[in-house]
Amino acid sequence: MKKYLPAILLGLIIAIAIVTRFYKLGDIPKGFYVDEAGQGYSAYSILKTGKDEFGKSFPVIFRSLTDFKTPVYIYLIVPLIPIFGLSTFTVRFPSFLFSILTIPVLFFLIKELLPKKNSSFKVWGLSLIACLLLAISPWHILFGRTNFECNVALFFFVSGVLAFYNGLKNPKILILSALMFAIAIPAYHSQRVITPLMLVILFIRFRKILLDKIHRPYLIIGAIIGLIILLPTISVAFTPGFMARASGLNIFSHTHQMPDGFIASYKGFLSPIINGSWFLSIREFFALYSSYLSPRYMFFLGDYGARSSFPELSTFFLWQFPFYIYGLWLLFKKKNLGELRFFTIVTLLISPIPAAVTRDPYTTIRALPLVIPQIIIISIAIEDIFTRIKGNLLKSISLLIFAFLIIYSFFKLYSSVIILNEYYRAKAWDYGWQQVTNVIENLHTTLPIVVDNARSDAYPQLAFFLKYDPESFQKENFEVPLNQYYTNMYHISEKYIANIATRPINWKQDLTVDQYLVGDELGISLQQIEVHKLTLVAQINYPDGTPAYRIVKTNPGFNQEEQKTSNKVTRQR
Amino acid sequence: MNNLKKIVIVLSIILWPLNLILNFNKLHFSVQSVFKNDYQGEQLVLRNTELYPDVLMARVFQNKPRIYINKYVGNFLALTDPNNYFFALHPEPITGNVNMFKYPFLDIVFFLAGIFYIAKSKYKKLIFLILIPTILILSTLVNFEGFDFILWIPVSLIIINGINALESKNKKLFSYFSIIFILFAIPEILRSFFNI
Repeated sequence: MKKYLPAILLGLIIAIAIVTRFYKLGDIPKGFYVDEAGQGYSAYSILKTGKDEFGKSFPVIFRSLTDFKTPVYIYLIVPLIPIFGLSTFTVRFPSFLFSILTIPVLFFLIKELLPKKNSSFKVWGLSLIACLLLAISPWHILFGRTNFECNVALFFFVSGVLAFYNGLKNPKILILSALMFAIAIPAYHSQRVITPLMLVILFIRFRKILLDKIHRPYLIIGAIIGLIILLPTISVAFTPGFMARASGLNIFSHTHQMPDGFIASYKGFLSPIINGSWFLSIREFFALYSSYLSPRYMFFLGDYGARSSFPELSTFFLWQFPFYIYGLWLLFKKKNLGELRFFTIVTLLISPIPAAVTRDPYTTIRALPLVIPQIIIISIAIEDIFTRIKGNLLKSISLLIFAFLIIYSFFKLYSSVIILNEYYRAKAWDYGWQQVTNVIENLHTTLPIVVDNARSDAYPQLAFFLKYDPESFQKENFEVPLNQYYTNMYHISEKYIANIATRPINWKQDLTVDQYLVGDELGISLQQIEVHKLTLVAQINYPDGTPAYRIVKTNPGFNQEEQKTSNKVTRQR
Repeated sequence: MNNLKKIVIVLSIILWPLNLILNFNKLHFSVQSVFKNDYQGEQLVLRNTELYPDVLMARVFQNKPRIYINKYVGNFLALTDPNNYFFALHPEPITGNVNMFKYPFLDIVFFLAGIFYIAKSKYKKLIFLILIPTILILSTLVNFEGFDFILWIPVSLIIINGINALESKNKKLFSYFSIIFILFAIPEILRSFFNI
């Protein structure tokens, strides 16, 4: 029984991870964000036509609203649609699946990296604690319940590292490692920096082993396979589409925004020093970088984004703060952690780099790989304290306290992820479009429908929930010639889905046509309904009771009459 | 002590007192406690309580003491945040505060080295004796800005400890880093005079 205990405990931890991620997957967060719908519809379009909604066959990166999306996640959705149908559940499923798979990979990675001279309790204990903390990690759960490519990329990255270390003993596995790393790079933007950096560091550290007679052939085969997989990505690597994300958010680019700390009032001769972008940009980089390792952000502030955080919950639980500090101390002071120490320090230092070169403060999406070293650091401290405690009674008490903290965290997750998030963050998650499309479908109308997109685009959600034929979409919505797919950044916000047009409402013209109008509270206010004698067909409310969207029918007879009167009055004046 | 080290030490610790003098009239020096009754916070807790299906769960996660504990913890973590001392709390400064730059940002290297080699510092007892109680007390204030200057002594001692440790470890590397440090510290000190 004792022999199987670690496996049983790992199974239990995976079960906990499944519960925290699978419970109401697809329904919570309430709503379906435009990027999620866009990726879902792109996958649907690929499945039905072999082309995305813009008519491009199997794109390397996917044209989106104003930027480009990474391809791996979208291609992972494609085979799921025939199984689960085109639904919010299907689109979020790859995130869920790969976040679960990351847990056993982390377990075997820690086990592999810890020196064998350690007691088996230490090896199993540390690996299991880290897995348990990852299973209940708010950071990892958030991206495991929603369509974010970063979680899938993290799995391939961690798997690549695990396969690499195994490959040092069994060189054939180096090919698998190359495969994993090659998938991680195009899987998410930040992995374009983290994975190559990690590869360079690992190569330098193990160059003697890698270049010996046994490993060299497999290293070359792995490199060739990796390169072949990456060829499509490399072929578009210098196009504006590929660079769009990096150039728009980069702190070193000052075309749209001055660097942080710029003193606009000072224009004197010391300006190159006082306002020198060389100085301000470097300082900003270090400020942002430092914030990713700061307990204030990790345990208190968390991510500022409404979709990349849960209410009243940071990226880690507050009770983990003392363990993080103690774990950091142990990590740098203790030498008995072997290769785990090296891996943790390297990942801790390189993971914030891509996030720190972008303007947004503490973005957990871009810095997701950081969850692994930070969880390991906390686990090192917890394991160390456990082993220091002597006596069965004290050990039992400390185990009870730990169990209590885990149970508390579990309920805290329920409070933030399910209860508060549903109430407060529905708007951020674009709640309401599914209900809007239900109403539109039930209208069974051939009349034109105008969906106001003055504040945010909604065509991906409409096309997704209406399961609109992708071939028709491609025909009706031309954006750029296909040979300019990756290079022309021109975006047409007006889109057509059968009798639906997404564009800003033009009140003067739209009121004279017999049609339906759809808009949010600002687009179609109660006052406008009254003044223009519109018929309120349906109102969709957010979970907190405030109006999300209104669907109204115009009254052209009344409005034409009113316009005539108004024209007459103007002429008389 | 060589001249380069002296320059590094002076540039390292001069920014906070300098900014304090230059921004003195902007500081509030209010002694309002975080434990003072927060009506709005309490109303929000009451509203949130109604969202829970279970009374016990609502009591655990939505209660009044939590409002004040959160404020205290927020202050505690801001006072222990390296970004408070080296980056004026950027990227998330405290709203309404001056958020002064306290040390040139490259001082963080000396600070981390100072902590790593803290056991070697002859002032370690003094550092902890001032640092820990001061942070615990300052965290009780709604606005600790200005009062936190007390921390200049222990934080500067840690930085000086780091400077000494790095210099003794590798003199050549220390000299190279010191030149870079001076290059970046000068603009920060000059900016104090124009950023008022």
